[in-house]
Amino acid sequence: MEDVRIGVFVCDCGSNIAGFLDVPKVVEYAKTLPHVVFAKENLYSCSETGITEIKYSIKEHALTRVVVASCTPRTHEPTFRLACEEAGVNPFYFEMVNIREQCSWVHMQNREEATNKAKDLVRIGVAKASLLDAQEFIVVDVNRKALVIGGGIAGLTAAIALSRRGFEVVLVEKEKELGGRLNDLNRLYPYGVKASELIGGKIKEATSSPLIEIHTSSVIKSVLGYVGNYEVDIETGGQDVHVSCGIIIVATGASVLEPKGLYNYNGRNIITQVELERRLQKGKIKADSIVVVQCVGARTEERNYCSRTCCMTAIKNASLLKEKMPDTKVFVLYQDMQCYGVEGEALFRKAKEMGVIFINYDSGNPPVVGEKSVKVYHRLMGREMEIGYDLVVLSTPMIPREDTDALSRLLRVPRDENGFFLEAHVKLRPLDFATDGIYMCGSAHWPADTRESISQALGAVSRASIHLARGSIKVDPIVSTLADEDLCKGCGLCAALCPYGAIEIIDTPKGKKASMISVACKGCGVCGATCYHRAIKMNHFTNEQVGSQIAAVVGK
Amino acid sequence: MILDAFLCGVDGVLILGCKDGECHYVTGNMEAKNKIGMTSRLLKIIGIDQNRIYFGQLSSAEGTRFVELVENFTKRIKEIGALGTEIKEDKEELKFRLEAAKAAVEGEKLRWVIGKKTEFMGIGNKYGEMFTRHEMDRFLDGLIMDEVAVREIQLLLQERPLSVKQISERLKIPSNRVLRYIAGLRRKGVVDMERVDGTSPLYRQL
Ligand SMILES: Cc1cc2nc3c(=O)[nH]c(=O)nc-3n(C[C@H](O)[C@H](O)[C@H](O)COP(=O)(O)OP(=O)(O)OC[C@H]3O[C@@H](n4cnc5c(N)ncnc54)[C@H](O)[C@@H]3O)c2cc1C
Ligand code: SF4
Ligand code: SF4
Repeated sequence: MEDVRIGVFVCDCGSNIAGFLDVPKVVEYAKTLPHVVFAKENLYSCSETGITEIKYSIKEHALTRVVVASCTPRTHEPTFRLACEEAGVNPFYFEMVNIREQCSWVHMQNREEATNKAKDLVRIGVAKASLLDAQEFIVVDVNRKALVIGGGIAGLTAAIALSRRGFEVVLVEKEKELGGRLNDLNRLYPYGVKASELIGGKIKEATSSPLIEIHTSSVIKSVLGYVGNYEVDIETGGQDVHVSCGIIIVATGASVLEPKGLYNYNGRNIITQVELERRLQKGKIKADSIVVVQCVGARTEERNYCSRTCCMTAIKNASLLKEKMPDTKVFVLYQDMQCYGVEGEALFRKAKEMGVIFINYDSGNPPVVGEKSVKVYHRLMGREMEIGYDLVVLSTPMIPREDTDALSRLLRVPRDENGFFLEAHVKLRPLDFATDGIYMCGSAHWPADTRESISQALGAVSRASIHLARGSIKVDPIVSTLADEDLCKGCGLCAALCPYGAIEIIDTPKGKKASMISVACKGCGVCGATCYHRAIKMNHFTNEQVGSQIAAVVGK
Repeated sequence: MILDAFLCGVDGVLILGCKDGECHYVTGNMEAKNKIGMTSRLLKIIGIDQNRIYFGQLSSAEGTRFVELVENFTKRIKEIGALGTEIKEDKEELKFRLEAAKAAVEGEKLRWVIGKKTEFMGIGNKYGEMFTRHEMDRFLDGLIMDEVAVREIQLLLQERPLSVKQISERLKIPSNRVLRYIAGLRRKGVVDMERVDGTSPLYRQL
């Protein structure tokens, strides 16, 4: 075995550490640990002087492993790894021990115990350091072509933006026509733009771009591969087309709830907003009294979310109707008006000025649509009202498309509790899936209006462009590896549990075996903790390394 | 790893993870919860206080809760006392049971069941049957009990050949159950009959 020579550097962090525990004592203690040939106190390990000292000591004492006991690895682990690399020690022969956040700062009142705890932490770090393996960074090439699934406003915007940046795009649309929901709509809030004009312009630009290859009446059949190198099969009009691409953007939009059995819905004089939009497109509506009901099938026990766009849609259409037919009475029965944004609020006010009547009802006491009139308990006035109608319009929420489940399985990406696609992090990574290289935008993610869908599409393109523009991906090698192919029985449990689809079961001359896709792996360790044949090794967190740390806790 | 820690001599293991749905690794905390839940059931079955393991869920912004959890856990472990006090037997027996438990969790059966637990309870197994929590727990307990017993038998037979009666007395398990386990082990080809001592056959680990 190679000679393991560990150097330990204990940082004062000015007085952040040295002010609350006895650093020289920790240094003396470190010297007594197995394999430690050198230990030293640094005023600031991360400073120019500290780094120089570390590099010098590596050479001077022929160190093969380095332990720095200082602060959180979040900030300075890369700094120290680089120092090791520059001094000729593999960057993964470095181990960091946190004696600031996890010791001096929380035990300021008790110097002696803090010192003892720092000794324990250093002992644990040294135990692991002695078992560390060298690792190389993983670099893979990225195929610079993109796949966009869904040809609504979000998908079209994404495809166009990618093409303007010079990337080739394959756009796959399930229906015969591009355009998505906007094909059904009349005018769009907040500015009254004609939906057909907006979407028509996008379709024109996309279809005339030489970089965008469009497949309509097409569905995704299979998706293999990982970030940078996806292999996708598409069925288009009975034919199979194969696409190799580096990233995938999901823009499959949403369905709208059909209110079967709710409020006497019949599609004739009791219709949905979508049906109203189509009638408005054609321009023929005649009615003296119109009642609009909000939150139909939304914010219920079964579907407890707010679809965000229906209130503004109702305000928009109520105003349009009032504008066309000033003498027609228009009532909007609502629970809460969701008019976020300055424009939304202004349109709400304008609708009231135009004479649209807003009536507040309670979800526990919803309106009842009869044959000729609607009965509603006006919550603010505290009394029941009866309103005669010619037309009732039901505002129903966006719901996940029926095939989101199938698509989520093909892409191996998660959905939320309502069935919409789920982002990697609600605030920090709202347009990424947890799986690298797959992004989402528009109402496939969550009910969104057109402007939001467009900005999300541009955001997703910006995220995807990072990989496409770089042309290669470099990832930390802290991933799972099939350490012993013979031990693997190809049972597939690891592949089934991997949340990132980073394991494939492949046929080899020795039978079925697991195969790890290192760039897709996040090193979560689920597979390693699961394989009962012990075939999997987690780089940098091996059973032996973690086991040695556990043993070191009790001083063994 | 948890059982390794007990084998190293710690008195309690506190594991902290993120809240449900907040795992950096998507489902990691659910997997951990399932695994830890099973390990604590396992402790109970080998006669060790299952409160020696605790899985707490909190976010990194909850400093006070962290302190509270750690302090409560420390207090609890102090109350329970040193590892092994609850089984009133010697260190060797403690080690024997922990080793058997460790072999059980490292085995195929428990890993599959735990790996698929969420799925069993969520969308049902492949026959479309859904398990309720209660059914799942009963099923798990039975399975863990069998698995531990089998591993204990294997550990015993590694040392020397024994008869069903001897095993039954040593492990305080009824002999019909021991016989069933032995039959299973023979089918797998890990245990075989060594010789017949009087009227009772002696088995050994291959
Ligand atoms: C009644 C109503 C009125 C509205 N009014 C307004 C308004 O006034 N102003 C406003 O800003 N917003 C409005 N909206 C919201 C607007 O419709 C959405 O914001 C917009 O349609 C979202 O675009 P999208 O591209 O995400 O989804 P979609 O428009 O739904 O497009 C998705 C596309 O993907 C395709 N697709 C689906 N699944 C697959 C698959 N598996 N493979 C391939 N292709 C697939 C679909 O066929 C569709 O073409 C309204 C919505 C409704 C329901
Ligand atoms: S690595 Fe282990 S869990 Fe994965 S297929 Fe092979 S034997 Fe099964
Ligand atoms: S470590 Fe996690 S992400 Fe990597 S292959 Fe295993 S289960 Fe998948």
